Formats: sequence, C-alpha cells, structure tokens
Amino acid sequence: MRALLGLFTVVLSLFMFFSTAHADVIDPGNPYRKPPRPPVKPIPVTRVYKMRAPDFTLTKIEDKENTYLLQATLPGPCEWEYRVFADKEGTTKEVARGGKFPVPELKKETDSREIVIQLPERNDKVAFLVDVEFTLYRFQETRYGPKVYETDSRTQAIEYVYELDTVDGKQVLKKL
Amino acid sequence: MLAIFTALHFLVDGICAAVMAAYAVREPLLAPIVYYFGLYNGIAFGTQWLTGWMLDKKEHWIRNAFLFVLVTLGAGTQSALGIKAQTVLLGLGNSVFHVAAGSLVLRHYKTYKELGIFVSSGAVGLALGLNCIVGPYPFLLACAVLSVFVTYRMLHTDAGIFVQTDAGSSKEPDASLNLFTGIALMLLLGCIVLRGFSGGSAASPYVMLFPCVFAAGKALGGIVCDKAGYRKTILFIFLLCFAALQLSGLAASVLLVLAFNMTMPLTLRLVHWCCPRYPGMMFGLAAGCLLPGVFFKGFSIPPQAMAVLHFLCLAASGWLLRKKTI
Repeated sequence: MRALLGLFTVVLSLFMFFSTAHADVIDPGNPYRKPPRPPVKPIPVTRVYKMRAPDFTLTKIEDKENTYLLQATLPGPCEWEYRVFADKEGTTKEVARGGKFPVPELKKETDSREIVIQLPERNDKVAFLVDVEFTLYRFQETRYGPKVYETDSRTQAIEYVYELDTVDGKQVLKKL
Repeated sequence: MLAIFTALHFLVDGICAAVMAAYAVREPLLAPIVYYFGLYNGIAFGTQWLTGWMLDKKEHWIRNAFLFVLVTLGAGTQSALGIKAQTVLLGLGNSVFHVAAGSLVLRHYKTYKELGIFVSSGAVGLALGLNCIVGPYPFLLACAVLSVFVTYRMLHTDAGIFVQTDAGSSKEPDASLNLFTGIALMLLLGCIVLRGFSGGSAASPYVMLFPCVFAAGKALGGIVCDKAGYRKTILFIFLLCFAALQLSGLAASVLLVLAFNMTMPLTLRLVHWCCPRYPGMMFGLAAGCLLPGVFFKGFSIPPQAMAVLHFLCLAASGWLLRKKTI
C-alpha cells in the first residue's frame, strides 16, 4: 500500500512538473520559462561556391564522322547538363542531350569536364544551338569541411550557336 | 582487468569514430554521411540488447568475443570493403565489445566506481576519432595488443575473470523481474533517454572539453556513490544541477553536463539490479536508450526539467529497488 502511494506521488509530481514547465506564462526573469510555441524547423546555413565564370566549347573530332567534343568549364561544384538543337524542316528540334552530371568536388583550380557527343548526320549547311546549364550545389559547413546539402534554386544557362559547313569536302564547325 | 577494459573501451570507440570520420572527410555529399552515421549508431547501440542477451545465454562466447571484436573492427577499417560493409562491421564489433566488457564489469564488481571508470573512457576516444585527431590505425594497433592479451587471460585463467568478487558490500537486491522492478526499470531507462538528449550539442567549439567532462562526470558519479551512498549522491547531483542553473555561459554548461553524466554508473548498476541474471542484455538496454537522443536532434527539454526528472526517476527507482530487499 505504501509503495503504491509512493508511486502515485511520483507520477502525480511528474504530471505537476510538466504542467508547470509548459505553462504558457510569461516569466521575463527566468530565461528557461518560455511559453510553448510551435517548433520552427531550423533552416541550415548553406552557401554556394562560385569559383569562376562558366563556359563551354564545342569542337569537331577529326577522323570521326558526326562526333564532337564538348568541353565545359564549371563554375564550381555543380550539376550540369547540355542540350543540342538543330533546325529541321523549319522547326527547331532537340538532337542530343545529356546530364545531369554531378560534380560535387570542391576544386580551387580550374575544373572542367569533357564529353564526346554524337550528332545526326547532315549533308547540308546546318546551325546547332548548344545550351549548357549549370546548377551550383549549396554546401553546409561541417566539422569535416563543406558538404553538399542540396542544389541551388538558380540555374545558369549558356547558349552558343555553331554552324556546320562543308568546305572542300571537309566538315568545319564554326562558332557564330 | 578493469584498466584494460577501460583502455579497450577508449580504443574501440576511437577506431569506430576515426573510420567514420575518415569516410566523412572523403564523402562530398551530406546525405550519405548522415545516413551511414545513423546506420552505425543504429547497429552499435540498437543491437546491444540482443548481443547482450546472446552472450548471457552463451557465457563461454565471451572468451572469444574480444578476438571477434578485433577481427570485425580490423576489417571495418578497410575502406576497400565499401562504407556499407564497414558500417555494419564497425557497428557489430562495437556492439559486441560493449556488452562483453560491460557484462564482465557488471558481474565482476558490485560497486559503482568500476562501472563509472569503465564507461568514462569511451567519450574521449570518440572525440579523438570523430575530430580526426587520431587516425584508426594507432587505435587498432593498441586494440589488437590488448584484445589478444584479454583473450589469452580469459582462455588460460578459467576462474580469474568470471568469479564474482566481494569487492564492496553486497548491496545487490535479490531481484527477479516483477511489478516494482519493472516500474523501476522503466524509470531508469527513461532517465537514460533523457540523458541522451543532454549530449554536448553546444560542444562544437570545444572539441575536447565536453568529452573530457563526460568522462570525468561518469567516473566521478561512481566514486561519489561508493563513498557517500546512493541517496546522498542523487541529492548531490540535484544540488549540483541547481547550482549550475544559477550560473551562465560555459561554466553552467560544464557543470550541468558533469552532473547529468554522474548519473550514468548509477543507472547502469540499478538497471542491472532489475534483472541481475542478464547483465549483458541490461547493459545493452541501457545503451539502446541513448538512441532517441542520437536521432531526434531537434528535441530538447529545459535543463531544470532534466534535473528534476533525473532526480525523480533516480529517487523513485532507487526506492523501489531498495524496497525489494526489506
């Protein structure tokens, strides 16, 4: 009986304690007595590392038909993708695309990536619109250095138009 | 042997932390780091009650447990295996070590001091590993030497390690699990869950200060309890919390962390008393109760609530368990 009474006292004091601790009473003298408020999800502090201006070049690979080398200079750790459009029967159509390539490593020196792309065979003079998009990663600082938290909401796109022409039976790619 | 187990605790936690930290340095993405740290904690803490129960059932397995720990931790340091396998191996090795050594200390000694000393060293090893101050291999080398020595001792001295000593007075109540011990167990585990939420989240600028305070608190709690007795110790801890709450800044945090960690040997010993025939499982249950604090970082309760709840839980469970002996 005494044990049950003791137990009841403990349980009751726990309940009383919680009601006191969570009482919605402003107590400016006590920094620990805060009125209960809905929890606010903390927004982690993140930042992007933009190291340089992005750019890209497209060159034709010699001795290989319809094969091109896309070299992209990355602005920093980012996801990047490319799309190539060509004019076909009066309408612009996507003829190649690739991505999203993740590059999460943080490099201080110039960082670039190369990719070989194949475009459809064309005998006539043709213009290609090449669009490369870079989305920087947002980093959170940790004790192990900056770590990728998510991708940034902004995407930077660069577009160049290239013209493929045949000179002396040889295909030549020119940037317009 | 207590000194060796304490050193091994330091080394085992150090190896696991150093390997996980080395992975975190290499990995550029935050999400997998959080996932594998969570998986490691889940295996290391969450499986201890099960490995403890198995070692309680098959006591002779403990003789080879330290070699098993050495092999799993040694394999776990090899990054060629991949982080998934490493995490599982490290978690498993850590789990087996804690319950094997913990159950031996619980069985071998009847007082609080030894428990406090044994559990104190882990926090320092963890901090050294997690902060990349010491790499995994120095820890592993020392761990190999001590593990081989412990295994040799256990295989060649039949009685030495398993004999129950009469060190200190035999205060252990002859408890079998019933309503009172069940309630006491719930209160004690609740107390450990609460302590899990008092971890050193504010400790980031103080890389080694708070882990050292954790260690000092755990050891001091056991020593004070042996000298002054259970009741006076929990009152002392409560008054220490009260004094800490009157201060502010770093001094208050250090005192509060010290006071909360002083409860650790007390809760461990009393949890063992709730079911003395299963020291490994009870040690594992206590360790498992630290998991909510690891996973729910957003949850926190005011320190004065923590102090009062700790006091109430410890007082009630101590009273309920003492009641059994009358």
